[in-house]
Amino acid sequence: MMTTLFNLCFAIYLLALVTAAIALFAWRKPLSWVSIGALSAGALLQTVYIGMRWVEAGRAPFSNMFESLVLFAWALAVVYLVVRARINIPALSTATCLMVLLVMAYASAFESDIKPLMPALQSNWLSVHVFTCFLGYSGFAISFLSAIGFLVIARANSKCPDETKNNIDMVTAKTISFGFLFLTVGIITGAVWANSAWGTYWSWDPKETWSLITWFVYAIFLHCRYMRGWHGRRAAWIAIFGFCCVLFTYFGVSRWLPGLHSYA
Amino acid sequence: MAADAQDTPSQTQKPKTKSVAARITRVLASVPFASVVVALIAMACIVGTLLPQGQQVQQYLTAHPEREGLMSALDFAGLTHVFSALWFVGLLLMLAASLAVCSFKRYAAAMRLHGRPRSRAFGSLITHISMLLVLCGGVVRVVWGERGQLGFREGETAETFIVENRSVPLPFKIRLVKFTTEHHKVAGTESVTQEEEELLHVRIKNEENVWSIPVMEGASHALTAEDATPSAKNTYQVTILNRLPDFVINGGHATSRSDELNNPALRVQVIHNATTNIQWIFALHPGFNMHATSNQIPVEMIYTTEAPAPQSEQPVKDWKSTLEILDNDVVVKEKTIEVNAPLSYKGYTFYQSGYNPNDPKWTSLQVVRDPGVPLVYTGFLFLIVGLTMVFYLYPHGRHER
Ligand code: HEM
Repeated sequence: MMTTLFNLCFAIYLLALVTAAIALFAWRKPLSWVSIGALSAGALLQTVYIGMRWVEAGRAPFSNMFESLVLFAWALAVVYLVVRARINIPALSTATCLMVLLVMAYASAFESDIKPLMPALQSNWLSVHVFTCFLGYSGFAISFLSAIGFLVIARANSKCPDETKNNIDMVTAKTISFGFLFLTVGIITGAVWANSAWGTYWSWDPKETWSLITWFVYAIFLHCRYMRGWHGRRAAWIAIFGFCCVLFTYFGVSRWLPGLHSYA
Repeated sequence: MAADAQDTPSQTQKPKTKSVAARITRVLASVPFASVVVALIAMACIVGTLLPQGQQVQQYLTAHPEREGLMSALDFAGLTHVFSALWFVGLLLMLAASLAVCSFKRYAAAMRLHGRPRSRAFGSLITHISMLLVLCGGVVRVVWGERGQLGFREGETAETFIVENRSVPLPFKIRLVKFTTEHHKVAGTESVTQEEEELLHVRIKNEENVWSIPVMEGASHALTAEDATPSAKNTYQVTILNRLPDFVINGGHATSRSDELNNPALRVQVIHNATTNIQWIFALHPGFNMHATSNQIPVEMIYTTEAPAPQSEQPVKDWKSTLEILDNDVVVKEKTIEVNAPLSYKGYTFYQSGYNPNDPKWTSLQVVRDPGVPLVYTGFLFLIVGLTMVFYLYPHGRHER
């Protein structure tokens, strides 16, 4: 049942990607609406999936690689829908759908069994921590896509009107602000959880430290942009670099740096 | 405060030659300087996570004895204990100075111009001050904080706790009234028949066979699925790298608190098909895999430290201690604590930390006194409020478009 629901979500996201791509490359405007409809339906269905898993496990389903990837895909879709409600950039729709799909595919490579949790992980702070971190990560993921988009259209300078460039540049900045706020809440709730579980809000464990590094990189982005007026290419490169730090924090730390934290 | 800000010396003296102090504050308050400091801290953090730190150095040297010279060079440069090194603290202090000066300057300037900070500037002021609060809280923790453990059996009363081998008095007494553990119910847990004390049980997924390996640091076993010929594809090389009988995370590193089997953990390496996976396995938490990558190699491992009694086969779900605080020999507080629900009294907090599978009436508590926490938490709150103001209540949108 759960697997069927997961596969159904995947199929709907695939539909969203295909229709978005056709809308982008063949200029079929109505199809872009089909794509958004599919993305919304997929996100809704995935909400149901996460909810059912929550009930079945008797705890928030955010505790291993599979669950965190599912949450990431969901957050990516939802955050993008909010962006899309304000501004329509067809290439960004396509790229986001592709990313959602890749994350889902990657998730399915991990074991999806529901397992009991050790006592320190049974905490509401922890659920809020993981949830807000992933909302933040999805903001950064979209900023990464729009930054790449910016670099592409800025290179093929000829056709693209300035307004489009400015819009894409603004999406990068706004999604970074969003991501920064939620990463901040994520780091803070993680610290509060650690303090309530073992009496230390910070212990320089590799995962913690890397999330702080990521946070610093985006703080530099915000200062460069708003205080020094960095826009366009330079801002895009920092956004890309920042997302590399996110990826390292998420996957790299668990793989290469030993520590306590590698469950999500 | 407003009057102060309006006739600061720097303002009245500004038109004349700038004093050294004024020049220093101008540098400290500049965004490029702050960005460089933040970037340096970030790089220090990278170094601190990539190089072996603290106790990891010893482990690293055991594995690579030939790198002794390199390690002592790194140690000399302060790179094997980055987060407690003076140069790192210096960088944090520079960040704090920068935050303080830029907040003050901006505040003073806003007072001069408008009589009060404008709403957005107010948000950014709160944001920056919040980080100062967090840093101050950290200083308080390092200077005035204490952390240690205490262990006792049901019915016993403690008046001291242990901080790094030394006994520290508590300003009150604490009594363990009752201690209990709860277990998860797991369907289909295989019963293990070996009599041996400590065993690592390994099963290749979708295989019947379970290998039970006696636990010894450094022991390495090549396991091949039944009916298969040994090859990179069919063989799993399992090596026990470390055994910590009383696993704790201390300063970000895994160490053993004692030789008691309070929280036995093994660090196990599995090599299969050119993929290497290293993970911690806990005897008391079979469901808890600290390594996400463990899913890539299809083996399941369970670590047992005794011939399992029917109950302790199940992973521990929770453990609880009922505690009483006696101040001047009067019971002033009673609470049942669990892992995420500690007991606090007079600035001391008691966390449920461990139990002994061989002595069900014994428990250990972590004792922490950190007077910096209120500052840090206030900082956290300000940070969220400040960022929300800057990004969403008074966003840049207006002059951006
Ligand atoms: C790593 C720590 C820091 C973080 C997270 C941080 C965060 C922020 C944020 C979110 C903003 C608002 C950006 C916007 O207007 O959208 C900001 C503005 C600013 N920051 Fe920082 N900051 C940090 C450190 C510093 C330091 C050390 C300085 C000292 C020079 C500084 C100077 C400024 C200034 C001058 C502004 C503009 C203030 C205003 O618009 O009123 N920041 N910072």
